[in-house]
Amino acid sequence: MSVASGTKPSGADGGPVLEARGVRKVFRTFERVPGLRGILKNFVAREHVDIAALDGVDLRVERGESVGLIGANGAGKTTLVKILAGIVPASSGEARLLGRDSFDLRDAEKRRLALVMGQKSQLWWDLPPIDSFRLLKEIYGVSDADFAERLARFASMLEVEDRLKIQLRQLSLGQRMKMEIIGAFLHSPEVVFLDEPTIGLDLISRETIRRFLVGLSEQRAVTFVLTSHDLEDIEETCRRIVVLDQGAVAFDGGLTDLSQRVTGKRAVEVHVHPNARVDEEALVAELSRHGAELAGRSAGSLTVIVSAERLAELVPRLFAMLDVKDLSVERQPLERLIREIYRRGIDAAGGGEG
Amino acid sequence: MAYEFRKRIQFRAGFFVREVLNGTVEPLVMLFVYTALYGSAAAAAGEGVGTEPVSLGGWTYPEIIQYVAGLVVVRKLIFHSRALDLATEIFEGRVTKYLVMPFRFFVLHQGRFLQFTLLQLAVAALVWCIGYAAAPAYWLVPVSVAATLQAGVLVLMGSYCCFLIFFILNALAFWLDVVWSLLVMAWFVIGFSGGALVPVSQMPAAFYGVLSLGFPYWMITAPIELLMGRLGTGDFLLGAGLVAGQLVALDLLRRWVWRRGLARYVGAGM
Amino acid sequence: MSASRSDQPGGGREVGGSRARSGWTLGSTLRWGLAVERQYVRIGFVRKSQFRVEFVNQVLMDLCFYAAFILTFEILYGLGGEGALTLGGWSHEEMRVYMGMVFVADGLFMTFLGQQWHFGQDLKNGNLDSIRVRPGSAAFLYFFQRFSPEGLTNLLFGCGWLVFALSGVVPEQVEPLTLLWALPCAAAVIAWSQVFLMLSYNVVEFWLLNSDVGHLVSMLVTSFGERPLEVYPGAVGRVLKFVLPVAGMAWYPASLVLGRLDAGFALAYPLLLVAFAVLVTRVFKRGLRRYESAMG
Repeated sequence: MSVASGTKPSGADGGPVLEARGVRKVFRTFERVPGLRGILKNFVAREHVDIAALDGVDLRVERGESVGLIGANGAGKTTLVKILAGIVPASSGEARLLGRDSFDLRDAEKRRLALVMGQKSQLWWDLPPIDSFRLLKEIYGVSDADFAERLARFASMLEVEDRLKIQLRQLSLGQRMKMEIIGAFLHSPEVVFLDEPTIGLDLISRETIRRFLVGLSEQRAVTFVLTSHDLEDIEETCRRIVVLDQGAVAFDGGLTDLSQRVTGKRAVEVHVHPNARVDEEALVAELSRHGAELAGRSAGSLTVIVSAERLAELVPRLFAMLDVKDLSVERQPLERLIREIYRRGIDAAGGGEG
Repeated sequence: MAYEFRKRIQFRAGFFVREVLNGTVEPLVMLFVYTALYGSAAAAAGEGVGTEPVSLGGWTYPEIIQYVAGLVVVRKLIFHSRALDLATEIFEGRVTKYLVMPFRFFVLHQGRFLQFTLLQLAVAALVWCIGYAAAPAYWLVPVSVAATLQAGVLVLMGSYCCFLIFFILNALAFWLDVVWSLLVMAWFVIGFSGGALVPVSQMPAAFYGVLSLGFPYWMITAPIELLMGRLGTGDFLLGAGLVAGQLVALDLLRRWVWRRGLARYVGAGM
Repeated sequence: MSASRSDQPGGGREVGGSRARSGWTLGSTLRWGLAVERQYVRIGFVRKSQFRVEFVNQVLMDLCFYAAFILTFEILYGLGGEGALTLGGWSHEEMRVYMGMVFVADGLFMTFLGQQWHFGQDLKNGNLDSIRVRPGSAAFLYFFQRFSPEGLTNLLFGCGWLVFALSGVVPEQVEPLTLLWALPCAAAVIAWSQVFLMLSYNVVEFWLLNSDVGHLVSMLVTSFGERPLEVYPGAVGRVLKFVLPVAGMAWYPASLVLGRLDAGFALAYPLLLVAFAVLVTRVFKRGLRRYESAMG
């Protein structure tokens, strides 16, 4: 389901669609001192602290790429999106969108851009979405025919045709987010920023939205930048992944690169008889001989992590040692890779085995 | 440096604007209007502004200046609708958590009234001192301690009436989607009928006859006249009785509206 | 305003529409602005049709303001007997015209610019994000988004009062034909002044976030402008005419209609308002650089 990206043509001017060079963003706030004395101190003489949300980010995104931005809370994902989209200026460094300083975009560039924020509605809360869409149509100068055609197509793809005339506030969270996405795509943007578009949504809504994004990306050379805490979103819609950690890029590369570079490991799920006795000590010793480790254990199953190269030698040993009912091998889940990056740092993780 | 300056007064500037400067603009503008008006009357009578006692509606120019000064101080003490956010609590269903607590919900809001009054007493004292220091010859100096106490009692009773009215209007959020316009409207009516623009006793007799029955008059014009010595203890007692009656009536109405509203309360999404 | 029929982006093709393709012109910008405003108006009516009680309440609220304003000046002028008093040289009849201009200015403000009351809070909460990424003037898209049908209703009441007030000075003081050019000019000056004065009050919020200073300045200046500028000391009057030209809100339009201005000043003052607008717009754009959104 992932979208091919690397082979798409680059920007019209030959340059990248998005570019960040040494981007820093510092927010200044003051430390609130608790208590009555603290209130007086806050009022009279505050102590300010600088918080670096981004600390020298370099990024280059070509036309048609789908980039997943991953990071823990406070890693700087949303700030980076806001700087690249021209909402806020960088404290230092350079951010460019479609060849122009992001914070100084002209209307021509803004017409080629869209932003979807999962936690902030851009449509009118107490109006049916269709009314907000009509406004967006005028703002972006979309013709009547294009508007009608796109609205019908997108509503159908996202399965909300019968919800367009219902007040936004009366729609479910998933339906509201679908409406936000329709609103963002009505003017057929070339660059789309999606900041946690699936946050809080149920599985079906998430799947529909992912399908919609992948579908559009496959049909057209749209450049996506997607931030999400749901790594499945990233896995299914983006080929390239940028991991932000404490305001800096901890990893930038393809999903496969990440998998190979960090561990190149496989997760082996072994199902055994629930009542079967497992000599865990012997098993762990055997696993370590093959460079593997026991990652999880329940009554009827074991999860073993092993490098891809040593998988073939390990599997027969597992059959020999355990009463195996079933066995499956999967690429190591992205969640685990990301946790590894946060825990060890990319260099350490990359330098590790596999 | 500019950034530092901005940050230092951010929110603190808001505090100063909201708590200290609020309610001073209208009296200031009216001061200029009165100066021009009395100037016109004096010119028509062949006299200079402020030097001769030209009287308009029973008020001379120096008295009007004192009235405006008194207005600035008194308005600091009058409960402001912004100090209540009951409507928002009702809209967002946040009343629920208070309903299960072992005390009446209204007590919390009475606490807010008390908190507002204590803070504003300090602000009013500060404003009076600043005004007196800036223009001692024109500023309103109470004629006696007794008059000050009587005026204070009337203003606070009137302020409590305002509090009850704003509470009732906020409670209409049980039925209505928007109540802020009602609050603004209420203040227009209370302000005008109390003398926030023109002293009620300067208005035509018919206006005065009607408006002097309402608590707004006894909350704004009458206390200032007490401080100036234009009204006496007998007037205070009459006013206190009238306002007490209206206060009780408003409280009964408040209870009735609250009970009826609560019966409609569904917790959220009103 | 028609867009490309194809929704295939890329290849250097402009997808935004004819405006983007043909470049900027005043005409295309105006057409775009009118098309967007038409949607804002439609949205305003749709919203208000859902909140009918709110509509009535807000109409009544403004009518209370008008009534208190009218009564105040009727009482003040009545204090000296018929025709005995003036306010800075403004007779009772002229003051009624002045009040009419104040009501029209207020009505225009309430009809189109009500969103300004939320600006400080929206800045603090980072609610300008979507406006920042959209084409067109951020100030226009933000401040004009809340069209108010109740404001329009009150604008009609204000116009009604103005007509009544003018009947007191026509034809004795003002030639009926004069009104044909003076009233449209006055309306244009009021609208222009209100928009850029509002913008000037709000730029303060960029530097003093959520301080309500913008509101205070707005209230202060508007209250000053609601009375003839002649009632203020010379320096205050000059500030209100030439520094923060609130005179454009009611004083200049009323003076123009009543023939109280000399021709040179009447012609020059609109130029000052244009210069003020250019300055405020630049400061607003500069202020946008201070927008920090909400930390994410």
